[in-house]
Amino acid sequence: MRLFENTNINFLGNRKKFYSVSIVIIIIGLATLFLKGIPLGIDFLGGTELQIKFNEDIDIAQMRSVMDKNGFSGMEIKTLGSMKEVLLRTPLQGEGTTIAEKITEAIKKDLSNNNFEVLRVDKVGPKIGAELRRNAIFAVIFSLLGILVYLSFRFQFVYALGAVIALLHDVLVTLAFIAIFNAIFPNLGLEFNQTMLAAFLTLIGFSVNDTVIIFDRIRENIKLYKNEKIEDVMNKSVNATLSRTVITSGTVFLTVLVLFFFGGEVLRSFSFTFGVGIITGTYSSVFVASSIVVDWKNHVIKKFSSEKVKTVRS
Amino acid sequence: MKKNLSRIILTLVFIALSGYFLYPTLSDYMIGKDLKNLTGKDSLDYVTNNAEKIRNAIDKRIKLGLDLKGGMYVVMDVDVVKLLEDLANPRTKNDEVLVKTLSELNDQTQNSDESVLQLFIAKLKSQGKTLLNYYGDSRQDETTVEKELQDKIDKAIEGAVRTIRNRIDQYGVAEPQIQTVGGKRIIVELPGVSNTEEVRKLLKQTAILQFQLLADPEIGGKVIKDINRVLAAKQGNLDSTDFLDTNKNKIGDLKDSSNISSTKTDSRKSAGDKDKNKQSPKKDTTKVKKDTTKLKDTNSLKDTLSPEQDTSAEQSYEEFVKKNPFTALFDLGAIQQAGELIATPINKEKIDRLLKTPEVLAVIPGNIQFAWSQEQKAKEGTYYIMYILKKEAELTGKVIENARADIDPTSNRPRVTMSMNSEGANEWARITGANINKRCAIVLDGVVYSAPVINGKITGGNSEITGMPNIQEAKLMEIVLRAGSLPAPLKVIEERSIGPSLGEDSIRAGINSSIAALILVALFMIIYYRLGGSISVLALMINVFFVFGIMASFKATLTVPGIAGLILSIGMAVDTNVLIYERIREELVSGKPMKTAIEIGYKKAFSAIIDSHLTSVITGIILYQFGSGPIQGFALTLLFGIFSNLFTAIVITHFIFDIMLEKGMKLNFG
Repeated sequence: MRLFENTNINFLGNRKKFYSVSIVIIIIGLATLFLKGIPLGIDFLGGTELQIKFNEDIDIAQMRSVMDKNGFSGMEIKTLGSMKEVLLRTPLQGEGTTIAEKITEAIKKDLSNNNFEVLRVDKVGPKIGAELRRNAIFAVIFSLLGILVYLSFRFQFVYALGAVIALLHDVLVTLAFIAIFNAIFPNLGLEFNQTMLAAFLTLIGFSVNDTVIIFDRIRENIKLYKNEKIEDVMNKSVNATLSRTVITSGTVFLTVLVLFFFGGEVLRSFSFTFGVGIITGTYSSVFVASSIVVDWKNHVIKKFSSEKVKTVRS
Repeated sequence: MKKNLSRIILTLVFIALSGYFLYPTLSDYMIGKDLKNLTGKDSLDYVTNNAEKIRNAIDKRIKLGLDLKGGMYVVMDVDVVKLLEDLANPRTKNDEVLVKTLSELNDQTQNSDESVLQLFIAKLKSQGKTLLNYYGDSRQDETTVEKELQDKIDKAIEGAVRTIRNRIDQYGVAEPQIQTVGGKRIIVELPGVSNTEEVRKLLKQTAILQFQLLADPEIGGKVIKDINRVLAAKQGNLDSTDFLDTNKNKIGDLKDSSNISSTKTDSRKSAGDKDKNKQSPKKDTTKVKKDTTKLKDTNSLKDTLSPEQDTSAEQSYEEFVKKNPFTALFDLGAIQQAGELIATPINKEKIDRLLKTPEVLAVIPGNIQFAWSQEQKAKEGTYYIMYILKKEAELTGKVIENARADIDPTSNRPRVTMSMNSEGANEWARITGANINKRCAIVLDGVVYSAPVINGKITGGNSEITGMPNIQEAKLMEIVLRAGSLPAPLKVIEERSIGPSLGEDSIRAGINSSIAALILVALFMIIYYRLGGSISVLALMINVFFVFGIMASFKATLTVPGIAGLILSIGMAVDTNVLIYERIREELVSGKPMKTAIEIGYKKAFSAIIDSHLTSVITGIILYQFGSGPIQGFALTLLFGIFSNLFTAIVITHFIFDIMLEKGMKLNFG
């Protein structure tokens, strides 16, 4: 069985179109992001969160009135999966988990006919929230820098730059998708927490892997086809690796799809984010990373050393 | 062939190693299965009979993170503001400026990472005050006072960690993880704990340090003798009725003995009172010497331990065990000093269980307390020392003003000097005066850290403890004394608890779906690449086996982000095979024979594989460095996966193909 044998698609010739597609998605996404936002999980925001499983179905409105009555007005209340599981969240922190205790007390008192079990209690202080945010940002920035340095060393600076821009592209597009999905399907419960952060890290790792493999083929082909235009060499390389790209991305996407549907609550936001990331990561490796290298070489470098290039050509 | 032989050997070695490291995890799983089928007494017997095996399995198995297993995760910070409040000189504690500044400081430092002490000094300065107004004595200058305060803040955390570890160990949580981060923050992870309220109380209690005298050897020996008798009766003559009688007799006996000791205490007290009056607050340093030589005491506990010895000197060991089931749990050959009994960790658990049985409790007098030392390390393994103490504390740690470990310049030996306030010094002089040559245990939250012999009456409150084998032990003593004198105020800044049922659901769903996904991927690989695909699936399985093996050998914990890292590394493993096989196909299409195609395919794919893997290694290392808990878990499994994958995909599949070609088998790549 063979997929994509001897394809000859002109990827780079159409790069202007792909640029505009990416830019449009990012703009719509960022607009949604700023207007609607992605809810931050309490990991980064601080606050108290409880997950409670009742024996019988629960009425959210009743729950809210119980909470209001006990002085927890404005609390976020939503069901998870079934009508028996409820997520309660408040920005209040209190010392230790006193807030969580007060909440369970209130439920015990005012919803006494419905037995329940507290599945999870999280309390994050403001200091930790700020610290986690900072650590996450540092980790991502430094790993991007690390990739930039390594790839400049193994390839050329332009390639490293292309790969990192492609990564930024993936992060932005995925954020955009999450924002858009969150606006359309608020029930999915997508929020930016540590698990989603892990998904972002995974997609960065995956996308750079994809890009590097295409670049590796370009590196090889440049030596083989010395007299051809860089664009043609790149097109050849992307086409040559196309079946590998599709097979790998396809299998990993398959895995993530299974995790999304059957992996349970904990893995859902991870698999959603990573799933979107696989698509955009593959897309950017094929359509964005190499295109940026070509454009950079054609415009920026030529501009600065146009005289030199002319003399070489002549 | 030679080249392949070394590869095969290497592979087998890795498989064997992984198997070795994973065996405890498997055995832990089997034990859990066995236990599920047993109930009541059977399960207790099973635990007792397989204690060593269970311990070993628990110690070396792959641990599941709290997000998978359920449990409690608490992050605590030293409350520096509260500490500054506690440390202020008593007469200035209620000073208006101080109180106001501290409360402002509390609000300000809620979100910032700035040095609280520096902020505090600046705030005082703006109000025309300095540290000297509230801290230190009049002879000190400001920099000294500042240094001392900083020192106390820095060391507060060590004492807090020690206390927390102490309590958690006594509470009996399996595999607790207690670590300090950045020298000021404590992270406590308690898997499987569901009673969060109780644990929270446990963590927040202030540490109690007590000085307790060891019980007189005769009384200690008698208690042990009684316990032996009760237990022997229980084991040997469960059906005989005279067991109850002996038991009753024992309680009668005991009342007597407790009376004796309490009168003793009384007489000592009156003697002490006299001393108190004579007390002069002169500051001289007397020595409390921890005795490292054997005491030639005729009443030593070792003699009283085996009560039957005088009647039948030649009894066999079996006989001895039968008659003294309690004493037999201790390592009698290892007794170093009078009043000490030594037990291995496994026997310690048994002894603790025995000490809780109603029969045994009935024969332990009310004024006697059994207490263990902290874990001791020897070449042969770890062990614990049991002390029999007088229950009533002579003095609590609150009177300690300072403690410092250093090397005695004259003798070149480690020592700890300890000073007490005047109130404590008076008491201390009375206690030490009345108990010369007796041993006084230093007990923090029920754990004995040291039990030095009192060399003489100590007046003035300055004591010196010597005899520690090294400076680390002395430092531990210093930490313990400080923890008892000024417990570090801690505040909980993050707390998470996950009910075990959520953990169970998520792990089941996660694992099932991961397996399903892997099977799908495997099926695809086999269909698409046929024989080559099948071999890559084999390599993939070995790869996963290796990753778990490496995790077990590093004692790493598996968490949800860790599974994510594993998935990424498996994705990369599939990718590596796809890369190689696509290259081989290309070569085959261009008409090369199978053998050459495979060689070239591996060679050409190599640079891409190395570059993509190394990029991920760099990312992994950076994430591990800068990330916090969950991110680190992700980075770790990713790194393990990448290294294992480089080996399986490049070495193992390659030599399998080589061997198959040599044997003349027909290969295909779809």
